[in-house]
Amino acid sequence: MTNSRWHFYLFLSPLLLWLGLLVIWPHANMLDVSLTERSYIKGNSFSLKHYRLFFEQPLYWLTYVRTAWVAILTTLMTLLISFPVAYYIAKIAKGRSKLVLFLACILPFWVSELVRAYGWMIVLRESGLLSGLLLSLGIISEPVEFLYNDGAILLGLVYSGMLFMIVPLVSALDSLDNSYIEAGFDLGGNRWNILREIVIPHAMPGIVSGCIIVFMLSLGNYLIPNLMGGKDSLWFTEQIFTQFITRFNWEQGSAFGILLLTLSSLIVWLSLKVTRQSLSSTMGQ
Amino acid sequence: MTHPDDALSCSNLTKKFDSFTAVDDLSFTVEKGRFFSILGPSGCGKTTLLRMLAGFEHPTSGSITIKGQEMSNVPPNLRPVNMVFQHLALFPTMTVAQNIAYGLKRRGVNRADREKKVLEVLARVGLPDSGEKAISQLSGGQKQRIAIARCLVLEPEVLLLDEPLGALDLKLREHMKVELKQLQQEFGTTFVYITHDQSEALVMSDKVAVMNHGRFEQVGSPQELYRAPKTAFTARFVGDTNAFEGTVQSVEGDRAEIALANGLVVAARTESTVDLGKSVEVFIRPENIMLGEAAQSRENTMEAIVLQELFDGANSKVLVNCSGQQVQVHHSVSQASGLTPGNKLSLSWDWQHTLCLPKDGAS
Amino acid sequence: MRRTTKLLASLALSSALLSTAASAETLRLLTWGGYAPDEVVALFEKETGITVKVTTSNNEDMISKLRATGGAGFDLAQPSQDRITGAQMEFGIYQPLDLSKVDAAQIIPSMLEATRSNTALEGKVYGLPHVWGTSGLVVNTKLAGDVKDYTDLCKAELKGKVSYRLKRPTLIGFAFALGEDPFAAYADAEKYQNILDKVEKKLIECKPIVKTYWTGGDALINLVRSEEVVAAMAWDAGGWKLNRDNKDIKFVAPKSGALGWIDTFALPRKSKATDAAYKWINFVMRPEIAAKITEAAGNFTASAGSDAHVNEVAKAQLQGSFPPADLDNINWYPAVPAGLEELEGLALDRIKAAQ
Repeated sequence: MTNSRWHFYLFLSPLLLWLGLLVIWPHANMLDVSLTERSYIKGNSFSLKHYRLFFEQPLYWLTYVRTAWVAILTTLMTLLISFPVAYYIAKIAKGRSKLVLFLACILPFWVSELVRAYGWMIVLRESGLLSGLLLSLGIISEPVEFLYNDGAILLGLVYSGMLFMIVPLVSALDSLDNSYIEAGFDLGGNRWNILREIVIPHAMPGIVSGCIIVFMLSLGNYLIPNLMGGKDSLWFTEQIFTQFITRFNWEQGSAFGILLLTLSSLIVWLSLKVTRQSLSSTMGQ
Repeated sequence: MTHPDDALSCSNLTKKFDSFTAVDDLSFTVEKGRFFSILGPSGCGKTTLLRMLAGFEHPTSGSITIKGQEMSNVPPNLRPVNMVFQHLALFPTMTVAQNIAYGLKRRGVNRADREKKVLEVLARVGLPDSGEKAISQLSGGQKQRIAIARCLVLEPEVLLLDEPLGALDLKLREHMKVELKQLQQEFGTTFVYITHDQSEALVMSDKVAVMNHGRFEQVGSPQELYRAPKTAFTARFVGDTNAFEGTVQSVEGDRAEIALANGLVVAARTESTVDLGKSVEVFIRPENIMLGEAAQSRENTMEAIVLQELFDGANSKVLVNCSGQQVQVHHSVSQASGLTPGNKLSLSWDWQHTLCLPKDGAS
Repeated sequence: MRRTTKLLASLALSSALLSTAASAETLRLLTWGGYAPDEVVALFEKETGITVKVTTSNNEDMISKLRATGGAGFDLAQPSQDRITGAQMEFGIYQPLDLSKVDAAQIIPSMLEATRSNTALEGKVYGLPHVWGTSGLVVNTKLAGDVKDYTDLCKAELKGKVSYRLKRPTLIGFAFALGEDPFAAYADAEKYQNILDKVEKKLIECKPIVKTYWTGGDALINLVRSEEVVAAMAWDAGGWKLNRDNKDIKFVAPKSGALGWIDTFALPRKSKATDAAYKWINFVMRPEIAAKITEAAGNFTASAGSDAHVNEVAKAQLQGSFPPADLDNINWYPAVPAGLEELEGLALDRIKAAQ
């Protein structure tokens, strides 16, 4: 009896350790730091100063709102682009071509995000491939800078999110038996309302889980906005990085971190409510 | 060529997949209001035929006419036919009522009429209070009825059914056979039903087409198919039977004498002309064979050794060995004594109950 | 039984001895790229038998790393001289140097004196000079020959063709170019804030002109080499590197003076190998070794007489960029008082956010 219980905890211990040491403890610690006012002379004391500063400085909360907005936009665009791709892979492509297409989607993710970002920079920069191509086609008369604007950030984020959208979508659509689509046609449906009333409701758990992942990844992305965004790229993770690394203001950085965590949890919770999905149904996919 | 009473007619319908011919030059008609079954083993082309009728496959050649209208260029969503899928394909993300209303909505039926029709059809299939249920809450039989209701509410000219009973357990399947037949009679809709289960076809249908290798071997009422199969394939596929191979020794009118491979000579009835010396097959249904001494008077007799009793109540049989060939014989419960394995007994049957048909592929 | 215990004990003891011996013979160096080239490390290891583990970093990262561990994990660090006292006062991550262990004769006296005063806290010295350099302007003289000072980067005709960092050197450089002396105002927060406001206004005004705020040296070199950028604020070494490939690209000391920095040697508070650290310092300040570091890093060192060992190209580049008058005109960074960086940070945030 006691022996089996001992075994139970033994098996559970890696999970408990992982949760405790890598999830709960650092976050609790971060919360603690964010509520501390550091003073060399007076010693540390409890303070809401860092949260107050966030609301007092328009720069910070504007960046916060902007980051959330761009991340949401990225998620929607990723969904819009990935859905037809996933549909093609899951429902139309057959046998070998299906595998090849799926691999083609995954392949770019075998190199690091940094390399992919540099790849895009080579394409989009003023002396880059796209500008050169348009020049040689005579569409533009002098080099155009495609990099360092919000469009470039969006492009980079959508690109890095695609895989995480396509995989759950393909698995969700794969599980939709063709007979449901045929039944839709048989009962008089056309492509559009079969998509809306049969395919999308069926793929909803996949759509929501893909969206959650892409949203989280975009919101927390540092590299893409930093490298591709240029002088106007305001991104909340950049603010956190700046506070921690260049300002040595861990207290402010922690407060920002907690705020970002709150924001992402809130938006995920809201989107689950709106789509009437539960976290377990979408993550169990 | 098409009769006004025909719900469906096909002429010279052919479907080829690369070099494989799934449906081979079929021509047939189905009268309005009939329960028409297509019976055949898997791979005989019956599913392809049904999918062509529904519009999911395009015929390689030939035409399909439904209610006098040519269907070649009509997409599935505009055909006056509906289909009950093998696994029913009830939309799991919708309630029962939403499933039934789906087709009505596509036709632009207004909300009030939709609700009325849904309630009506639910009452007719005997599930009046199920509208708000989720599909997963239904039992197997209830799902069948909802799948049929979803189609019938659209009042199709022809209802196509793709082995919908296949997934049910035996007991429920027996029950649903009766229920399906009743539903069909009640609604008066033309049913085209495909199955590989001869019992389903025999019980429910007005007419059955036996299909093999993309062609109809024989089309007729269940009784005709059972009593007077025209080909060896039909004889073997419809109902239980004992088959022997042999060669024709003599023919006298519709009576022929056949020398069997085991050396015996039996007399049989033949409808098609069989030539002397030709190899044929001889079929005797288990219920036509008599057992024991009382049977000596019949024309055809055989000595046999009991192998095994196959007890199944009123449908009990005994498996015997006749000169190296296994034969099934019905026996009544009163005859049950003396059926211990190893016992010798004699079999006998009338020549009228013995059917002689050319071997498959020989004609 | 007893024998096994004895054996185990002696095993444990000897392994403990071995491990302390090993750690004593390892020098964990926290430095900049190029400051500890493989060749120099190999020579040092051969001569002393001490293994050197190099971690490359930058000023902010060094402070962050040492702050996280309270000054442990490294035996010798190389922060810039102006970043020592502030960090030391706030986080206490360094320990004072024992100058008696340093061969002062190998070091240019003026630089030794400069860092001695700049890194002193309560009478103790925390930094020794190693590599020095300046930041100024990298200009493509063929395409933007008239860029002479930081504020020239805001000229309308250079729109989309200039780049600089959004970091404190830019604030300081622009302040000098606008005729202010930010270093003199270090002690007076209010006065410093006034200067920052002025610089902030100028940089916001300048924002439409700038192509992008560069973040890494390689990215900048790429931009200038492809001629997408014709004038930028950058380090002298980067400019010289570009000059070797394209003669039109030159490092120019701005009219208002280049900004001079000195990277130092400092001992983390929990350094485990201070002896090895002093050995390394004395080793790399030898003229012929220092010359190798100059070749690798691109910048000159505080080693007396190492110029003689440096190649001609590098010498010519130094003299080309810094005629004697400009060398005297260099504005050396004084130590940054605590709290100043927060003011600067807010100003930088506002510039970044401005539309």
